[in-house]
Formats: sequence, C-alpha cells, structure tokens
Amino acid sequence: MPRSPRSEKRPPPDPADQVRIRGEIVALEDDLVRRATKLCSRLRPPVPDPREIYTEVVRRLLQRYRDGEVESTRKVAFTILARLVCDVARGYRFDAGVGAVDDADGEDAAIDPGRSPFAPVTPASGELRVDVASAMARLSAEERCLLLRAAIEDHPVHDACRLCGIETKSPHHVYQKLLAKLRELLEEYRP
Amino acid sequence: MTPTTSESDALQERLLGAIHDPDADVELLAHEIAASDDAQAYLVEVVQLLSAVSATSPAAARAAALLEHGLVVAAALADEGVSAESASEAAAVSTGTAQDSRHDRRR
Repeated sequence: MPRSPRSEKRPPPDPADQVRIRGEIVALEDDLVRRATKLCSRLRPPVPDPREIYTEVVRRLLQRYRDGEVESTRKVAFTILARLVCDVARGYRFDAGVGAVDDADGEDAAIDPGRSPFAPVTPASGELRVDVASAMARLSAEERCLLLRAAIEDHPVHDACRLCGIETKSPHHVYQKLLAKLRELLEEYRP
Repeated sequence: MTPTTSESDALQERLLGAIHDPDADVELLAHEIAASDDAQAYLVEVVQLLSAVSATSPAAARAAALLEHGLVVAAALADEGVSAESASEAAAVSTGTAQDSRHDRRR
C-alpha cells in the first residue's frame, strides 16, 4: 500500500530553524491568547481556558512544521485557532494534551489522528437537544419557519422570510434579532 | 476606534447575508472581519447557534469558513506590518470607488 506523504518521516528542522520557530511562537503567545479569549467571549459555557487553546494551537503548529506545511507561522496559527474555536462552538469538548507533541526538536512525535483532543459532546441525546427543543418551542411559528429554512434548508434570508410569510424590508435585521432571541432562550434553558 | 452599536448591527447583518449566500463576495468582508474582534466573536456565536439547530447546517460551515478567511487576512496584514483597521478602510474606499465608477459607466 502506498504511504501517504504525511506518514513519511521528514528530517528534523535544522537548529537555526528551530530557534526561529521558537521565537515566532513565543512572539505570538499574547496575541493568540487574547484572540482566543475574545473569540470565545460570546459562547455559551463550558468554554475552555484560552491558554489551553493556545497550547493546542502550538501543538498542531509544531506538527505542521514537521509535515513541512508552514509558510507563515502566524497565518497557520490563526487558521488553526479559527478551526479550534469553531469546533468548540459546534459542541466538541476540549481535552487538551491528547497526543502530546514533544517540541520543535525534530523528534518523531506524530499525532495519532484517531486521538483527537476533541471529544464530541454527547449530551446531544440529552441536555443539549432538550435545550434547543425547549428554546425552539418558545419561538413563534414564523420564527421557527425562518430558522429552519435558513439554517437547515440553506435558503437566502430574504427568500426564507418570503417563504415563511414574514413581510419586511430588512430580512437580515429580522434574522439577526431572531438569532439574538434564540441565544437568550438557550441561555434561559441552560441546565 | 470602537464601532457604534448601529455600525456593529449593520456589520452583523452583512455577515449574516454572506453566511446565507454561497455566492457572496467575501473579500471586503474578510478585511472588515480581520479588523473587528466583535465581528469575529459574532461569527463564532453564529456557528454555535446554527450548529445547535442543525449539526450539519451549511450556513454554520460558511460562518466558520468566513471567520477563518478573516483571520488569515489579519495574519497576512500583520506579517506585512499593516494594521487590519487601516487595510479595512482602504478596502472599503477602493470598493466604493469601483462601485462609483461602475455606476458612472451605467449613467
């Protein structure tokens, strides 16, 4: 069976590169922690500690270096940060430190892709789904219709409003208010 | 400069428009996202809300992609030593100029 490029062992970065990489990562620390804090600021709890997110960003960044995929440290770090925070937003529980990476020392510390630091939140069959169902039940029929047409059936917002019989000159404003209302209701139903 | 509530609301509405339109031109928006912590946090909130309604919501996926795009722009600008705020203003002016010239040609 042919080996994937990711599974091939690459030579370790030379010492000068290691120093540069360490320097770039250290220089980004404050910015990454600040961004992680801000990005998670509107999320419903539980939200992981921004420092744990930063640690996970660095872990994945070092893996990218090993895979030879890094052109700009900052660009890759920000991309990883965005994906991590969105995974948290989607309901994946953060479990930092799984599949630890040694350091930028060139040791082969490959991450087992099957051991993601994120474990799916399983109250999906319980708390979370009840939350959403209870919140949805408090919306009007038109609001539920708009949410389902836009969020699930992927209609543009103005089409969704029209299909749901909502007459308005500013459909995006109506939709924005609806999402704000849903957020409040979910807050209310949080166990 | 901190955006006013109405500016922030207007940006949020445009973000929602782009999230629900697969064909939206997101380049200018990406610059605005790069310049606004609040816009970035709002996109994360939208990912959470839409994912709660449907784990496979295409709009939630586009919100996540839009956030990533905005942060990549922020990183590129920072690497070039340009502040995201000034780049966003420049992009808005340039887009406005392009729209004006299209408008003039139509006239």
